[in-house]
Amino acid sequence: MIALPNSDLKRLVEAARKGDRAALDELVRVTYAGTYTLAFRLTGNEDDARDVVQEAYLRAYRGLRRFRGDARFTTWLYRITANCSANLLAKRARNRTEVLPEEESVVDCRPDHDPEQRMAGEDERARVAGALALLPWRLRQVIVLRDIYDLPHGWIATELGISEAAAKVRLHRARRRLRELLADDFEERGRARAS
Amino acid sequence: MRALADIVRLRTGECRGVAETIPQIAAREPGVDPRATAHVTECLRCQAEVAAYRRLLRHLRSMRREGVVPPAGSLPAVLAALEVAAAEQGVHSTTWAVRAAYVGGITVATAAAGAAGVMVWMSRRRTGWAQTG
Repeated sequence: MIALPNSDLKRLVEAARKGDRAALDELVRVTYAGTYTLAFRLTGNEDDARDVVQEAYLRAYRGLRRFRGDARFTTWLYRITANCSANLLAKRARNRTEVLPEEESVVDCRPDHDPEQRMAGEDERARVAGALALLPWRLRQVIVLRDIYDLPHGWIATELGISEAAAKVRLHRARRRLRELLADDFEERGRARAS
Repeated sequence: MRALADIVRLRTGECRGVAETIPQIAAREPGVDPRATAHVTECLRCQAEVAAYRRLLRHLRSMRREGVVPPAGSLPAVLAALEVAAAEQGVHSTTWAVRAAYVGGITVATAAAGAAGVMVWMSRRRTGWAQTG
């Protein structure tokens, strides 16, 4: 997301609400990268992210008059994006027969790497991103919203249409699953540090 | 005196019991059972697990700062979709305005015709009374 002072963002939102098309376009431009990033993290692939972002902006446009401005515009947009992503993935899961059962172990499809490279922090982060993409979408969503975007449990529960307790349980499962997927990487690195 | 194997087994059992709360401890979230925290402060194995989770969480948090580059052409596609939506909304509002004007016109015309009819009827009645009187 282009770092724009909050006052400028508010000005753009206000103008867009009044029907200023140029302001709306500018609002989309400055928030686009951030919204796309969230959509990509939530869906785990480019095509779905594109669909989600488009739907999110259309919904935001239609609901702009109802946006009261008591929350940050970006937070409001995140909320719509998370909701669009949940809808798309839920719909996809209903229509798909080869859904990955949540308790089934995930095939490790990580490419082989040079041991020295494996120790590099960036590489490890890339592995985390790769493992995140391998998580079933329900688990991935809570990790993205809570651990990447630091959004409150109550907010996440509302957006996913579940109770706060259920959101916490799901987050716990997701973290454990992610940790399992990365177990070899982290332990190997720990051993390399110790030696 | 307890055999070493028993102590290890007991310790492992405790670790298993605490395992559920390790992610919460690593994320420094409230509501963790103090007994679990106490166990972790004394258990190297669990401390290593907390450290691994913290590293994982650190990587996840750093992902927020790293944007994903949107594919070329995706932003113009969104702007075009908004353009279409805005045009549709414009068409809808224009259609609504035309309908409103049409209905309004009919209502006014009906009311005017009614009023004219009443006036003609009244004037004829008045003329009829004058002739009979």
